[in-house]
Amino acid sequence: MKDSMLVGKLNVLHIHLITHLRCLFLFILIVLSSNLFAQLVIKGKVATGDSALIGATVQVKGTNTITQTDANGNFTISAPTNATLVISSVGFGSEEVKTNNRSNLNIQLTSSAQQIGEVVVVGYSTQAKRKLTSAVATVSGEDLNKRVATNPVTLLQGQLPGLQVIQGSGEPGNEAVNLRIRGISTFSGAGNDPLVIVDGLPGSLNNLNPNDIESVSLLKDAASAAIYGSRGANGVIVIKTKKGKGGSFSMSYNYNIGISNPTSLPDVISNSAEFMQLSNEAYTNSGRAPLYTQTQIDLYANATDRVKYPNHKWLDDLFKTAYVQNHYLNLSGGKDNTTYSLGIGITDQPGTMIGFSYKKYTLDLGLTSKVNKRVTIGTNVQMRYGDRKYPPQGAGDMFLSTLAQSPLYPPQAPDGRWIKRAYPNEQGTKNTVGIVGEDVRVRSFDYYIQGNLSLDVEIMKGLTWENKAGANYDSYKFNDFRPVVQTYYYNDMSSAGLLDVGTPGLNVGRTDNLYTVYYSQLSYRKTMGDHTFSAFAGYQEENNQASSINAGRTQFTTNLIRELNGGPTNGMTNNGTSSQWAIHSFYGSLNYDYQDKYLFGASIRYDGTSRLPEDTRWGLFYSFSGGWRVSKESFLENVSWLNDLKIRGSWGQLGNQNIGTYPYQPTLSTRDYAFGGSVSPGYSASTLVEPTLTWETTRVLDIGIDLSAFKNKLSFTADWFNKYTFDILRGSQVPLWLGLNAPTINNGAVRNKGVEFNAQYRDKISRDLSFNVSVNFQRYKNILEKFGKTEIGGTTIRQEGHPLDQFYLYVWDGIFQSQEEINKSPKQPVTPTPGDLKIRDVNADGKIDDKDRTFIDGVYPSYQYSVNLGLNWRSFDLNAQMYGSEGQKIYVNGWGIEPFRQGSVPITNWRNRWTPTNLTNTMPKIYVADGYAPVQNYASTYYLKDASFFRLKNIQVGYSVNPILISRIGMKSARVYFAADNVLTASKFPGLDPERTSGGNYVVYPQVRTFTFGATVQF
Amino acid sequence: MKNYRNYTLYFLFAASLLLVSCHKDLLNVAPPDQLSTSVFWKTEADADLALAGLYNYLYTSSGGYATSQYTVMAWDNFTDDSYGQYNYGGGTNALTSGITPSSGDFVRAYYTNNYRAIAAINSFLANVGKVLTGNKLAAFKGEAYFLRAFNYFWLAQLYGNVPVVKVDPFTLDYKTGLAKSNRVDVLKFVEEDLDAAIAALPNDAYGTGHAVKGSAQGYKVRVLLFEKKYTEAAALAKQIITDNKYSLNPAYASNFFKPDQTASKEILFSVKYQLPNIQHQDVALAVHMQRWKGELGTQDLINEYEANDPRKTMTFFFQGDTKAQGWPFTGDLAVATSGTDSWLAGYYAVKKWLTPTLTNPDYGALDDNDFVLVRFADVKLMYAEATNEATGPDASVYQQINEVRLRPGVSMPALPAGLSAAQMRDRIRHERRVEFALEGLRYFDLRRWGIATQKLNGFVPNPLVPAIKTKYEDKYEFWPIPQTEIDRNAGVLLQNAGY
Repeated sequence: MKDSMLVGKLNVLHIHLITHLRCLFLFILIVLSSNLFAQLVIKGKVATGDSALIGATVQVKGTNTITQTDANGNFTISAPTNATLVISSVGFGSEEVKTNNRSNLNIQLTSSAQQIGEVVVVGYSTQAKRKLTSAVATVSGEDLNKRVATNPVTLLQGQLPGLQVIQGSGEPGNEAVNLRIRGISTFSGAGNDPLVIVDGLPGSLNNLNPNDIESVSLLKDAASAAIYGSRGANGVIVIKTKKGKGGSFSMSYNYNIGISNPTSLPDVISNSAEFMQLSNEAYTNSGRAPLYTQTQIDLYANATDRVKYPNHKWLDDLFKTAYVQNHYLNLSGGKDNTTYSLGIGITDQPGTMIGFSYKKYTLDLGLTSKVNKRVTIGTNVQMRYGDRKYPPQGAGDMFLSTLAQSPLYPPQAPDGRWIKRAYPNEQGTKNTVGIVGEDVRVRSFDYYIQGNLSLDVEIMKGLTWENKAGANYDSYKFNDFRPVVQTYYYNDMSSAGLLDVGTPGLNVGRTDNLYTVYYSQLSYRKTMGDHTFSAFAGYQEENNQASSINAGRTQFTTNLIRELNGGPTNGMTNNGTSSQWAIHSFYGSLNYDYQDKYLFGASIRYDGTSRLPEDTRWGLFYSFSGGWRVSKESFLENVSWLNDLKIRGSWGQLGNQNIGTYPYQPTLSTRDYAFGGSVSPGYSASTLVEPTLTWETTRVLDIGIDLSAFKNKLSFTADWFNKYTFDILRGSQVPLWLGLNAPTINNGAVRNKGVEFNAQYRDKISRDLSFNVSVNFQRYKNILEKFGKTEIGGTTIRQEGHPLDQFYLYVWDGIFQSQEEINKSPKQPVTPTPGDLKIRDVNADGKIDDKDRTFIDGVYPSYQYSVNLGLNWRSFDLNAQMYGSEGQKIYVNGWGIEPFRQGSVPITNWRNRWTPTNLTNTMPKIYVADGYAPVQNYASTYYLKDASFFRLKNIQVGYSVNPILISRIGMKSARVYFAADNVLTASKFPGLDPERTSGGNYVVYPQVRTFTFGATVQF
Repeated sequence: MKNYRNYTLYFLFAASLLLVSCHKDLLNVAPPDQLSTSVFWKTEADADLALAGLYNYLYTSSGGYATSQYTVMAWDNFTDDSYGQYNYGGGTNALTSGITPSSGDFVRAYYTNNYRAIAAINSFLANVGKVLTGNKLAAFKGEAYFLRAFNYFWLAQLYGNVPVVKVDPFTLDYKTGLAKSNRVDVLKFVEEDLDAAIAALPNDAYGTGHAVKGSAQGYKVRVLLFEKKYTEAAALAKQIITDNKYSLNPAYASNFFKPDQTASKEILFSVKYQLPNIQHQDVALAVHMQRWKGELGTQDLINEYEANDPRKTMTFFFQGDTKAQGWPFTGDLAVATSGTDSWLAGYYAVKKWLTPTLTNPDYGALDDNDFVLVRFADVKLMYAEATNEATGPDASVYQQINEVRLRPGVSMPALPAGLSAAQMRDRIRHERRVEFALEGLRYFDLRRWGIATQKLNGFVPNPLVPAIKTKYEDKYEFWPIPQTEIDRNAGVLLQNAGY
């Protein structure tokens, strides 16, 4: 059989590979030849300015010989006669000093308070920044935490060039943060989410407390991410959490309170009489019977009893000022070769929208212990408990349902009864205030723990054996009870049926997910004269098991019991399932440099995944990169202003397999039928599978430059990239007559090309005043290169040669001012009247039809940028971040932006509508947006809004108390600060916040503006 | 040095363990909650499971109440009988703005529903012989043939010219497109399948939900009438009548709710539901129909009823109705009032299909009424129509219509003697409209009678809002093939004329 032959071949390949790996290990062992050079004892002192640096690290370059400076800044180290020492200290840059046979050295380190340490955390290892040959951006936890947020993902915005961060919602505990590294590279279910590595293993960033983060690295190109092979196609975010520092015990405590409000809300008409007149005008315009009589309008217009005839502002009921509190306590220290860090965080985050709340408790433990000279063990454990409450229909529905209430009635009558509408013929939907008032909220509890254990053994000088095993466990449960609540019409308090909470009853569910991973690798570093090698190779196994169980009952006789046993067993339901996936990987990496001048890197990874068929499941991913430190060349040696200049390039391939769990197994779906009064089980096969399914692959070419100059005051990094994703995993386009679900296949290709740069300048103007400025910029262009037959969605198109999901719309060309103008215009499939939209006859054939839709730019931003500023003056510090996005358009419709959708209130802008006496060309006449064909028949540019924006994202001012003053009470430092988030925004986007992930419904949970007051003390 | 040696040893030991442990079994995982196709079609019981699977396609889940294919009452929203006030599946909009290859969701949804069922049936027919033999095999195949004809007849009625697939879809090369067959040829295939079904199915009364001979015969009469093969249609209808397996239900309304409809001798085929496990989609039917007034009768239909035709009040509620008339609401809604509580003024609230025991239906209410697809009254009126068209209004025509009119509880006077064939045609059309209101037949009747444009283009559903008119064009006799299907069979499958 052909199949079994293939399996056989693969087995052989497998064995070969294992043999090769064994050989590799042996080779590495053999290379460990004796490394005996003449040794010299060097003494020295490290200082910055006049003050000695305590605890600075001194390392003989290319070796593991390492020591630290003592309380006077002095050190002693033995090194070969012509060694190079690398001296570094947290908060300072790194210096290299050639010993040149000297035995006494005085070394000066320059402060670089804002710069992340000289060493960058990359895949499975660390690398000196100057030796990087790949595109990696980093940010320190310190910089990250200059903003205050409860979700660390949101803090990444504007910090890392190449990373696009959009917060989709201001909903507590459900911020829907969308991360994209270098654009959208695939339309497959495999998705565009980057891989997140926490302390060396895949984990969750969401679940961390921002204060526990030490550094974040963004691996953008193939060279940096290929070591994550199968999972690196969308880039990798590598997070290191705190593990504590040597030295004495230190305790710090941080408290802050934030006062949050929505950044922006639509300005709606809340005068009842005006609302009724506009409503009648809209109904008449739309060819429908008006809802209100003149008598009713007069009742509201002339009322003196504003309880009976209110001008109710529903949005004021929906949004309240929220007070968000964070406590964070950190204990850290180290003694006798053991360092530790323990962080405890409590976040209490009520929503600005009523009904939403989130409480988060986090615990982070980092521990490293050098058991003896050669063995180091360590652990990092993060725990998170989240307690979230939210109305079951979600924030978008809460918002739109509130807009779909007329100002004619309050949510609740003075006697406590909930109101449905004022009059029965009014349109509308759920009473959201009633839903929250009756506590119709899902209670969800999420327990999450991620942790790892590491064991590093220095087998011999330069060769270490590193092992790491970890697990992430997530347990989630919810309780969703829907009570029976009566509602009434406000005009006569007659019965109006039940409050719309869906089917009354209870649903409860539990899901759990256990992810385990371990890797074991050997790494080796060696310098031989001008040649420096470092290499590592390892094996990794990942396994994931998920399960869920749900149950429900209906027809509860009371609203007071919210557990299953409180409901009748008749009609109860339950369901549950489980799933599993696994990945096995072999990987290796090699770095070499000559004279620290010519750099070369390569990495390889061989992955097998359970998601792909046996014959095609193994994928080989690799990358090559090179760098040239031009500044080391003799012709630049005398250029004194230039500290470092490096040109680098990389190329490689990455994989993506994250498509469903079982995309290739043909299975039967359950299809029961009710024969003869009982349920007969049934099955049917309805899905095609592709037996040769294989990896989706992304190929990235990256060329970059790193420069630092003027005594390292200026640094600049720029990258150009060309990222090509092919063999995209997608549902194939099968004809409908086939009657089967389409198989997942490999087909299609997307290319993203772009540039990004970061420039930083820091300087000290006087003894008291220093500052830094950093600018990030990114821009990319997306092209769908291979797709097959064009697919047109509601508002977008997938066509080869165009950006993926480019807008494909009718062009709105103003307003028909007269019947005469309509008669002269191309024939529309609808019958317009004056005041309706004029649609452009794009193909000029005299009629408006499907063929008049056209390509419209703006689905992706043209460019994004951010500016970070920092200023220190005496004891004051000031930081600010500005963030902008240019050129993106968003298609929005429905409640809020369109009048009378489900009875929703119009925004005040409709006062400028077209009327026979106000012949405007910017707005149509007012209409009822429940299928008003002359407007809503067309997915047109009428709905497309400019979402470019520039905002002062954050500003923070801090004051540090003089340490001498507080040292008497045992404090090391104390700082108070004030921060403001989402302070100012400039944008043309109407009404709501322009920063959002998607179009469609206009209303989404608004972003919040927060003013935070906080204090940090350290003992 | 001793330490070093130890560690090396540990390392080598651990490393070799590691490499050994890289077992590939963990990479071979299968869905734990779904059967693999490779274990199916092994035992006789698999045939039962697969057959139930075929009927399951009658529970279409798309389109909400208003454009779900076998939620039959909703088809009347496309006609002058009723109005669907919620734009589920785009149905209400299409009523006024017309049907296009990408109208709402329903143009694609019905087409897809039918082909999905057909694929399952073809696969069933290709495999069932592996586990069954003899009479049992023939009977199982008979049900499959019936269901295949049922689905192709829907396609033929709506879209007319469609691709015909007769083989196991898992063996098909789907990468090249497939051309459509003419409506005539599709119908020929429908007749073949129905003949095979009629030959194989048991000549029992319908009851359990399994198709019987009468189900297939009833459908075939409908097909023959659609093809205007009146003589054959009359003969087959007559055979159903003389086989005497069915009779008119003495209580007209009880054909439409549980538990009464279960015992009705009038039903030839229906879609079966069963509480608590198999419920209607979304909410109870009564919540959609009576609570939300999702479907409302038109004044035009009310005007069609003869004075004192009791079917009018068995089908609709009127202003002032209370519990005595079956109005299900109590409290301050106890008196039916047009213009309140979602009841749009100018229309009539629906009573047919309401389970009389339900009070105050709202969220959480449960009902499981079967959707009736063919009734014996339909067979009788189809007989009358076919005979009248073939040979004129003879006594048997009068007899069959009058039996429908004179059933207990309806008791309408017999038709006057001496009607011409044309007059009789009008009488039959009238009778069908009032007898089958809200049963999904009117749209297809109007089309096959060739009067759909005349009746539906420019029709004003609500006399209080004369500006809103429905749109119907002659080309709708052949609905457009969904745009997606045209795209995916580019150059091979061509769009119907006029789109």
